Amino acid sequence: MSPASPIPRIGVYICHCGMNIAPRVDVEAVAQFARSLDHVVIARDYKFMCSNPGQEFITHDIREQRLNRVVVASCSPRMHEPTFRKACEKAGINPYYFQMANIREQVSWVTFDGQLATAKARDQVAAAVARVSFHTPLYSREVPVTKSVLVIGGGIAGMQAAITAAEAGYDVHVVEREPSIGGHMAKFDKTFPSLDCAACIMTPKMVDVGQHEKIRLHTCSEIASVEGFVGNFRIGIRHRARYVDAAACTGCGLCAEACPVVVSNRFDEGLSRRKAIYRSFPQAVPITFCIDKKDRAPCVGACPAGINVQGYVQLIGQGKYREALSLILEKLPLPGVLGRVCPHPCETVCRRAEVDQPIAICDLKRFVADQVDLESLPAPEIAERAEKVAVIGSGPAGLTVAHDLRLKGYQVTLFEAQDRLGGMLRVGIPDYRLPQGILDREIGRILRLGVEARTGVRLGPDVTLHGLKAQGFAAVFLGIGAHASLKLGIPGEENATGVVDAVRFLREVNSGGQPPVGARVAVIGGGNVAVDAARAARRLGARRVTLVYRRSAAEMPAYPEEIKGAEEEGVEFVYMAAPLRIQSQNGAACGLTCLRTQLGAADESGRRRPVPVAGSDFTIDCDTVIPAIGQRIDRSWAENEPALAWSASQLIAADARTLQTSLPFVFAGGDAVSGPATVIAAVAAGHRAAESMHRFLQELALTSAAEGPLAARPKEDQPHWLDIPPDTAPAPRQHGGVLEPGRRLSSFAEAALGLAEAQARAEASRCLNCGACCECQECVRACEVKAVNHAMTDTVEQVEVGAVVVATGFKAFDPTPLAQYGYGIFPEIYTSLEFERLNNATGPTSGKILMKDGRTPRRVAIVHCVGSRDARHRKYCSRVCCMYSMKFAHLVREKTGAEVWEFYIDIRSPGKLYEEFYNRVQEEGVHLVRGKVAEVTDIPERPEDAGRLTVVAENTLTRRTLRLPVDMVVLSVALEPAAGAEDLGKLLGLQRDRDGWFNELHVKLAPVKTATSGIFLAGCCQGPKDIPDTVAQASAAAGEAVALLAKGTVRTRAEISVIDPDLCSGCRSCLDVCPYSAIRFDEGRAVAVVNEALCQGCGSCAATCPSSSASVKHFTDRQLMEELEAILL
Amino acid sequence: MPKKVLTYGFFPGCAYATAAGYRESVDAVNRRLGIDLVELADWNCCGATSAFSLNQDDALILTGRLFALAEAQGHAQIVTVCNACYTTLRKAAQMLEQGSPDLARVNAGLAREGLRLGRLLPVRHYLEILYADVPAEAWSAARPEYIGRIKVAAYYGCQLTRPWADLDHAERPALLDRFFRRLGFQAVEHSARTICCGASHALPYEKECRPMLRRIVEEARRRGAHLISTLCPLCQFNLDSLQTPPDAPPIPVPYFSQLAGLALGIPPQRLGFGKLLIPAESAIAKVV
Repeated sequence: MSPASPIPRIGVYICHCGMNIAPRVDVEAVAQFARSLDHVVIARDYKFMCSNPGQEFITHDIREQRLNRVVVASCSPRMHEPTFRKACEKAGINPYYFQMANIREQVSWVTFDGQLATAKARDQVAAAVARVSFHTPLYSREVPVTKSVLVIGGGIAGMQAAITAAEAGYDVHVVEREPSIGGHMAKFDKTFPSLDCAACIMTPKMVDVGQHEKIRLHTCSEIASVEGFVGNFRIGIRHRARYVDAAACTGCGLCAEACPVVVSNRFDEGLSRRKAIYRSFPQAVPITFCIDKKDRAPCVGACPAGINVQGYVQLIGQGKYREALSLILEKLPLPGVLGRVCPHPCETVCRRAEVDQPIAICDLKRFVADQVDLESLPAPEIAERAEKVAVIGSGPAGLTVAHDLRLKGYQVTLFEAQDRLGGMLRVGIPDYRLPQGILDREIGRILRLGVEARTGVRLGPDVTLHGLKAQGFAAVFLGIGAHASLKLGIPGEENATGVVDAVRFLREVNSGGQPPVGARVAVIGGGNVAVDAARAARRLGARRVTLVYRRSAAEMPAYPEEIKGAEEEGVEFVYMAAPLRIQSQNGAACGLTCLRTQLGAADESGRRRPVPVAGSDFTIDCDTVIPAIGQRIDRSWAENEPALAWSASQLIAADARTLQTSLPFVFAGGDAVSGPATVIAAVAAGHRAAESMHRFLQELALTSAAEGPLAARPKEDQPHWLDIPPDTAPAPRQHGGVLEPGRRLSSFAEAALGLAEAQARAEASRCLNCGACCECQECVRACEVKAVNHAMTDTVEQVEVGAVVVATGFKAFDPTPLAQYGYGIFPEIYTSLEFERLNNATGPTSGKILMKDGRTPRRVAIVHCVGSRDARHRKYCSRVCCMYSMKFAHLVREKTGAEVWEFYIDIRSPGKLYEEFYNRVQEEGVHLVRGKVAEVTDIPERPEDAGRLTVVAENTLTRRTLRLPVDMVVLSVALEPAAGAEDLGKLLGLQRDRDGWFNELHVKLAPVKTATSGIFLAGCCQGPKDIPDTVAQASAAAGEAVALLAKGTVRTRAEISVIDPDLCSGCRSCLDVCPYSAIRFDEGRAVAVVNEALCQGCGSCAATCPSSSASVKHFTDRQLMEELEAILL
Repeated sequence: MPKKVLTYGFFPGCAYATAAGYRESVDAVNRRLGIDLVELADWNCCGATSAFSLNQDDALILTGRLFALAEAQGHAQIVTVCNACYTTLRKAAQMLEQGSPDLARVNAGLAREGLRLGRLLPVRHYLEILYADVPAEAWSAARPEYIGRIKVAAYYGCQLTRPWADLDHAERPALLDRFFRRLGFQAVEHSARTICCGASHALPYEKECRPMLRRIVEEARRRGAHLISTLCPLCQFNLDSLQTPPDAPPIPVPYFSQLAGLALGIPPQRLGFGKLLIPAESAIAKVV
């Protein structure tokens, strides 16, 4: 096939490139060869084609020789393709009629043999000539740009770039992920070489950025998404919730004073502590406080009722008992009850167990419930509603529903079959565990909210569900519990006196009755009810009480504290025995015959099934038998309510999420729905049911109710909690006193005495604050301008910018892997950043150089190149460490007069006034030893050095080994790319070098540009550098951004993809592979279409397209084939 | 105690037979635990540090021959009781991997004897066998009650964990400490675990090495240790013979296998305690 018309007239130019090509390649021979090729009209060789005279040849020949194609054989197109294209354009032909052959980087620089090089150069030229004949004219377009700049990072680089761009009149967005701008420089004390203090020189810039009318500051923010192309970027900025309103906050700090949670201060590099609500440093910009929230503490997550456990523990620790109790009451109307009977799942997950033992949370709840007079708490305001609600059953589920719905304003009536309120709390749990007074107090408070109670009213005989509805109750809650007992089903169980089931027995005891109890009692069962019955029987005077359980001690479900109490009170335990028969004489029980059991395979509860062993009968002498093998619901009323559905296990059927029954206006929860379970589970069910009933009454959807605004934090797969500080000293768990067993049996007085106040405060101080902020709301109460808002959530804002400056800085190398230096092992070893904080006036020691025990060091060692220049860690030199190490030496001398020894490999002081600074430091008497430190050890050289550290190094100039006792060691650690740089790079499409720094376009000639048009680099994110160079580079990056945007338009690429709609089959494979989202699918025509503004011409679509309908202009199959054939043939 | 017998190919090394109680204690412990260390027939010196420093080519033949012998004699692993042998064999294994030019040369040399190095068997220290292969319960069955009162400073020497750092942390290893705790001893925390004992320089450069050894011993003493225990014959010899006690009693240096034997209830006489230069039995008796 012949090339496109008009007939090509090609000019070929072979460049000597000075000494780079000509000595290796015989350029004249190549030019001669070129003349022999088809369509070549003229071929020249010249020393420097890129120079003016060189380009003049091209333009002259185009005119004089009527060339319509040009080939230059010289360096890489990345160097000069634009140069020669411009020359062609200037001379009047389309710039894309030009082709470059690389005979430098690909030939003369890599081929050592002259003949081989010349032959290869000939091939390259032949290929270019063959290709260029098939070029077509291409045109780029101009698109308008947005005249604003995004700066990512608010350190000194970001701030300088922002100020420069803003001064040029551009709108600037500065996005900083910390709560304040200032970056690392805000942490420093004096800076080299002039020893001005970092805060003094930087705060004017910080204020400028904070107040400039053109700069919008986004702190606590990160980049969420990047779309678009040069001049037209669309950026998603995620504003992380600060939980403090920036417009209102005055920075007064009252909130921090009130906050009970103390955590490690990251700004001080972990050397000090701060509160969960904080401001990074006093000169922070913005001045707004912010709250450090991790995922909710595990204790909060484990509580079925969602009580803010961390919150009330912290408040108790502060002595704020009323506030603590109020916090508990938000989620639990029965604190004194649960503080005595709860199985405390929160303690099971308490992370303090990783240090010593879990916090005694249940005891703390009881302590604070006992401390505060409930009547003294202010009554809540209630906005009345007209609807009436009936709650049947006044156990914990019913009481919770009544409490919650009353607070919402409903008219609540509580119906109770017994003559006193409380359900199982009243009639099931004996007084020595739960005194009646506690129950009265807490139920009394619920009633005082305005809940009407009717006792002695039974479901079935006295009220029915539809009857209540007819009386005007718009919704009904069934919390009737499980007050009937399961039968043993063994001979002798019926019709013998002395046999009474545990539920009935305990009901009589708790009602003040004196149920007949003989001298020898046998209780059957292993749960709390059995143990309660046994201990009650002892108090009623039974001389011998035996508890018979069919499995082993390890499987007993009763609480360990209760079992222990029973053992102390003389209850005997017989394990691995199952009841067979109750012996009676004259109608009265006289013995319990049992069979021994063995444990077989596990049953559905996961516990091993007890298998009776035939022939192993034995009889326990007793006159009272109390079976306590399980409870069931009293269903006697059920046949009058046929519409109410039951589950297969004889429990009331209710939706698992909403707790609605088969009757839409009837809801149920607690033991009646779940089967016998814990009190706190009933409370949790009560909350859920109350929420559902409220929604039902308001005719809202009954979906699983959100817990409210405080639940809006995102849940992640791996919970993020505060790290447990490695130096947490173990402290024993506090135990409340107990009544002496001998004294216990004489009455039903409470057996457990609870914690004393000093114990409670000590116990609360052991809490590790896993969730950081505990949401106790003390800050809300303390803030006079109401700026704290715990319900804030993350938001995303879209902004449009024309250019992006990346200024994400660095992080300090963690020297822990270099165990020979003892960081993290010995206390007086500091990284450079930590040492900066010691020197800074806002740091942990107010700027004094002090050891952790408060003493001033007498000798300090400074170790250079920790992590840098290290084959196993960072190969590069971090450039600033020599200078800051000498600065440290100066500061130590000046502040303490201590001896300073610096251990270096080389001293690098290349900047302006740097060498002078080095001389000054030497004159100040600092000892400089050339030798890398081998180790820092605590083995003393001489006995009198015990307690000091010894630095071991070779002084390579004197060739002697030095073992130097010192008090403090400073490690000058390497600079590394900032955390998150990789992810940000992916968002922006930026490449990083093998050390992780962002790639500039050219290390010498384009250090602030990147390969992506419109994205620039400033500061350490491109490579380690000092402050002078950072500021210079930041201004440069801003300048480049402004230069790019100043004209108001940018040119798009011409070499972009094009999809032939006639060939496109609509398979959409190209859409998936396009990294720039530049292809859209035209539904109407069922073909893919390229967005010419977004396409970067990468070629992925062309390579993927199965029907060859996608191709890249200027890289068509035809052009590439011609090129290949010229080389191969 | 364990019914099944653990069998390994065993390379004793030159120092083993004359070491003070190493062989006696290893044999006694093996008999009790059912471990069979099958000595390589016709083994040669591994060359240790010296051979590799002076002539690498010959050193590789020395070590290559050991691997070839082990393979030919049907073993699956080679167990050593000396740090230097351990590291030397591992160094050689790294250099004689498949495809290395040294491998061909070594095999050419070995061919004269009819030997061939085909597969590089894994090399393990006897400590690994006792810690990883013997179940933990085996150590508490017959433990004498006095063991818990003895404080031991574990000394690893430098070649067990360096340069490999795969068995344990290079500078602050913990394996031997954990082993002693499993035996029932108290293992003291100290900072001299891997600092150099002087190795084969201790005799020709005695003056320079004595301070190095004193540093180790004084650190152990400062931490309250009654004994120092190690797992390399050269380390043990240096520490045992070159303590200069100016004003403090010398600290005994039994082998870790001797302590293992004590924990198993084997009497000290059967563990070669009599051969220690610094007597250990009296020191132990004073504690208990």
